[in-house]
Amino acid sequence: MKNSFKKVALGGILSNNPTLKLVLGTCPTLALTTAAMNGLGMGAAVTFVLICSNVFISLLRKIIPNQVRIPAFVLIIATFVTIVRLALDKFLPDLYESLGLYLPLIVVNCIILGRAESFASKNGVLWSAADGLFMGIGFTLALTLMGLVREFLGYGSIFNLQVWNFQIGFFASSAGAFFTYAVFIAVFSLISAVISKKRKQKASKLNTAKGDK
Amino acid sequence: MANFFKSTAFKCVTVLVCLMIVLGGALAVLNSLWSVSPEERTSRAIKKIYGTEVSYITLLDIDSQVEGVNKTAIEYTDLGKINKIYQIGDDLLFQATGEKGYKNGTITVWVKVVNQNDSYKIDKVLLESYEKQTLMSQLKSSYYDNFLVDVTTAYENGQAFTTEKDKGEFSNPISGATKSATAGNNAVNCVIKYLGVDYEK
Repeated sequence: MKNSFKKVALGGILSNNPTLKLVLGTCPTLALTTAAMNGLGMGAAVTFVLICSNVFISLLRKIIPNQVRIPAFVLIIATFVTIVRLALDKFLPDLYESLGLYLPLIVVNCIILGRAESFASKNGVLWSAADGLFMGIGFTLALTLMGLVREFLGYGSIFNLQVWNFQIGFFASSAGAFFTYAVFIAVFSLISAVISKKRKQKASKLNTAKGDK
Repeated sequence: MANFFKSTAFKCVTVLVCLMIVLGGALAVLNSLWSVSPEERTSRAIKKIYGTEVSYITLLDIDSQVEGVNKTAIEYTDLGKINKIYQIGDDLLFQATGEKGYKNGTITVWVKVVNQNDSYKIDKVLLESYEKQTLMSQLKSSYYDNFLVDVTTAYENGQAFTTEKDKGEFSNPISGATKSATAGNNAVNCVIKYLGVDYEK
């Protein structure tokens, strides 16, 4: 399957968005979107791990035997997650504390292992890096937007800046996380369906015009 | 024998071992470059409690590399131990580890004790780390914060934090299938006991 930059970019952010379309990585999505900053931080960490692990796995794809590819991938992913943990603990301790247990859980995030298995192990280094980057951007955007909504409605703040005093405790709770996630998936699916319908209409008009000629 | 070295099994093992050595080596180097020293952790805790960096006098620090500083932890049977004591102005800052938590785990906390008219009161408790406990995000420092009982007399009055209910202000009843505030309570009780028994003003 031939890759194109547009396909890889739009795939990671829109058509194959890991959070809103593929519904992967739901654990950090639900747990860390109480604040936009947490969502942004987790997204950045996952993006870094995605890019590095995709590049490394792509470099070694012809060396790693098929029989041990999963253990090898997990080893590589765990290494980069540890690097992220060391860096955050050293340079961004507040973010390290707020991400807490979910930072080491990036190792078992389905998005990273899934992209390693389905893309990085079958494509070149540059394409794998691009795939990791745009998948990470898609994940980060989804988490940050969800975090913005939940933080605004649940705590009345945006990026830790108090905006108003009105707070709906439901959105700060776990139930609110599920509800917000469901609404986001529904809205994203609706927008995707509308765009897909318009594309089909456009394509059928073009076909009709060609047929008339 | 030659066939073994050409086999897939050998290739699999070799690749995995090589990966482990290379990646492990890289992590070892980065760990030594980016390790956070105990002094840095202390500074972070102080900044978190006081909101800014403040100067302090070290009275006890088991991790200190400075000569002349007391490095022996103060241990209390069935409670835990005090690892660090700093004097900040008239206040005292303790790092204490409480024992006898869930699965015999421990909880380490920072305890800020303020001096009010020559009596000492617990002002803030900050969770530092824990072992073998779960759901420690539920161990809120607000249970201990602003504990305006004179801790210099609390010990001799038999007052200490407990997970038992109906013990008034000292009751901290967090407990559950896999979590317990016992170790956290014991850490704070170490400070109460020290100030009541061993502290010389």
